[in-house]
Amino acid sequence: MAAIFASRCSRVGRSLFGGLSNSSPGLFTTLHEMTCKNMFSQQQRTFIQMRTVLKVVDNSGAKKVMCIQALKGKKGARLGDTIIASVKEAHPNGKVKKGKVVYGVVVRAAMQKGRCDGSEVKFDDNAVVLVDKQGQPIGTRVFGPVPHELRQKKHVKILTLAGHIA
Amino acid sequence: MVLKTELCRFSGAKIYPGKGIRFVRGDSQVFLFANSKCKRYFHNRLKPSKLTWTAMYRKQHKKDIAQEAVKKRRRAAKKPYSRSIVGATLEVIQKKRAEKPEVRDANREAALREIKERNKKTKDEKKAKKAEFAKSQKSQGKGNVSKGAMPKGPKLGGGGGKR
Repeated sequence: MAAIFASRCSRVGRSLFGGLSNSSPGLFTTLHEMTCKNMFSQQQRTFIQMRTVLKVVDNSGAKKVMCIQALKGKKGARLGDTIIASVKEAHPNGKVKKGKVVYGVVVRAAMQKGRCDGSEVKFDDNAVVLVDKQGQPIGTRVFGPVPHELRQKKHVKILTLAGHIA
Repeated sequence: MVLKTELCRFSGAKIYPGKGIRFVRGDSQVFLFANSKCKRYFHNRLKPSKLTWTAMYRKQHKKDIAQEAVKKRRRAAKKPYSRSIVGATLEVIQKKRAEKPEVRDANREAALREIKERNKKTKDEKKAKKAEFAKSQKSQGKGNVSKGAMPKGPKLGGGGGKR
């Protein structure tokens, strides 16, 4: 029975995986639901595309932003790319207000990115640092680890503000 | 050319250049995995000590005992040896070490006796000096020394007169 359900899930494909989230409340009791949950927990991390919600890791005033445009690539943005986003949550007395359209640099991405030495790097979450049109960061501090690939992308200011470079 | 290898955080396997997955956690801790199998098991919270093919399991269950024994072989302890110091040369030290305890005791006794005699001599000399000094004092005697005439002029101290 579980095998049939799994095959059905695989037949439904990408649309089902995109629509359902891993953090749905409630206790899973049946075998089918357990199988389904296990499959979702191991789903592939993907690009940062339209409607992706990202964490803001600087002191610009925004907490969460939603990507509305990736400025590079067909599929979406990756580590080190610039995106246009809309502020969804913000601190009450920050530089950036809710609803404002801002530019941001992706400093952490859950999707793995190949490095020039052949290894791959990936992070825990998706995070951005808000920047202006010239690429200068709005905030004065950057929290958490950032990758050294940002040096190639000419975001040296973000690297200098960062606490830990991975 | 030396290849810089790193160790997998899950399996303990060597990661050669061009291989491996680097996972950076939110608290800035970096984890290196040899392959996607190790990465998947780590994220699924499997314990490497329970999987027989990991280095941790092999270490806990003492699988590589032969290698451990080779590692544990210790160097022979260094023998203590004497050398000359500022106060005494090596020959003097060797001679002192070689001499019999009876001879050593006799030497010590002689040295103590000599010190005692020296102390006695100095005491006697001091006593003689004291006696001589006392004699000379007696012979001089204490004469009445007259007070010198006070200089004339106004009193500097000032009495308690009217203000």
